[in-house]
Amino acid sequence: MQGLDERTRELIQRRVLKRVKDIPSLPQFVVDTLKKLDDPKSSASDVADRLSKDEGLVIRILRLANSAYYGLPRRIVSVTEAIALLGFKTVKSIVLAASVYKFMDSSFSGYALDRGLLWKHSLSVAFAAKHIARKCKVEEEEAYVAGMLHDLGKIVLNDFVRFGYGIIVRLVEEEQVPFMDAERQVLGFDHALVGGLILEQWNLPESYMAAARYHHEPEAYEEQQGVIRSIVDVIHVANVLCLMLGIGVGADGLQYYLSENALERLGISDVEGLMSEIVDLISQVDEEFQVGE
Amino acid sequence: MAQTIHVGMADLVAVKHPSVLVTLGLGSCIGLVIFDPKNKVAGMAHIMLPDSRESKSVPKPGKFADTAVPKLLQELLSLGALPTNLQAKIAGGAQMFSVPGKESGLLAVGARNIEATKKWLEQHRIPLIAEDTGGNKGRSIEFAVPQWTLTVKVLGTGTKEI
Ligand SMILES: [Fe+2]
Ligand SMILES: [Fe+2]
Repeated sequence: MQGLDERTRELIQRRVLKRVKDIPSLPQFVVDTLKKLDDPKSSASDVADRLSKDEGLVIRILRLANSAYYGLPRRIVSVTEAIALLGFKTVKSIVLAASVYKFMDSSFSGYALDRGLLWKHSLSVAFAAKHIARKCKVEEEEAYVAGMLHDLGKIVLNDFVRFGYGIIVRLVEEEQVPFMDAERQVLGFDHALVGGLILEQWNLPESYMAAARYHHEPEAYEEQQGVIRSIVDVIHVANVLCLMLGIGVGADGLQYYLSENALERLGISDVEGLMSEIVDLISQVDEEFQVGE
Repeated sequence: MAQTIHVGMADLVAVKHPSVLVTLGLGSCIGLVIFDPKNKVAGMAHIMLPDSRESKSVPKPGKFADTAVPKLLQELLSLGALPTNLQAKIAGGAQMFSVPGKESGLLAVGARNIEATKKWLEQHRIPLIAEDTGGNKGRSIEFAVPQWTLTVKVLGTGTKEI
């Protein structure tokens, strides 16, 4: 295979790391809000006050909360109402999801993802993960957020994938290696690794990092048991099923492995039945996929 | 002017006027078009899964191959198509990579979708005249009425007409 020379690869790796460093952290008021939402002593208005700093964020939060998925009896117009009806835990994951929206709100041409498609894919994986988590008795909200964040590395790696695209594609086609392995071989990084680095920098819980890092290769995660193991498996399966359903599928297509061990660990035997449920669920949240206002 | 109509997941649309029927994002799913060029009637279904397993009520018949084919046929006939004129084209049915040495039956949804769609077309005696199926890549498709060309965009690769 005609690859990049050593010097170019080193240069790329340095640039990737620099780009990761340059990703802004989550705004302090968001971090504070997330802490408040963890604290049973906080009040709903307290939380709402903090968020009112960013009107765009509040609009995004309300759109997500009003999604048919949550089945609220009426359209809500304030964060206080959202907390009253959905509870702190659910609102916390919605706040996090809404906060990463702006990072995904563009096109990522290296992956042939038009504007809005990475958001659509991430949100779909989040809902699918939540659904699978509920069935498999795994923490739902954690699965939702991990799903939202799993492909975050694509926002950084996109430009580099575009640059090395010809070589990556040839490697995938000629040697039948998964797209992510080709990224790693050509660029020294893959989007899962980079996603893990961003989340580490954001100081988010380990389960989100692990889910991003191992979403295409759950067997590489060492622990055989525990909460994080389950979250990794749930995100892996949710992502594969969304790709099979063509939701936010890009240039990397379906060129990844599916771990049957992950299915087994979660006790999933009826894959088609599960896909069918996910189709219905995603159709419910379709209107959230519209980008912009 | 040809009108662009998006056919979403599990949807099914039939038309009798100049149109471009579009499905964005096919993974293992199948984009099926059936058309009667003489009477200028055409339809598209975005099939997700091979088999409804006789579940009593299928609110979206486009979702399964066994319900999509008869339903699309019925809609085309009601728009004036003649059964003997009908032709079909399909695209999609991609698969995940299979782990070397491990043929996965569970995940062959793409292959099962292709097989089921063909089987139901045959049952209704609708000839399949073109297909772009299989592989590991995502696709988007556009069907031009009344040119009857199916443009298949293989994501990250290029475009072909079938
Ligand atoms: Fe990924
Ligand atoms: Fe993904």
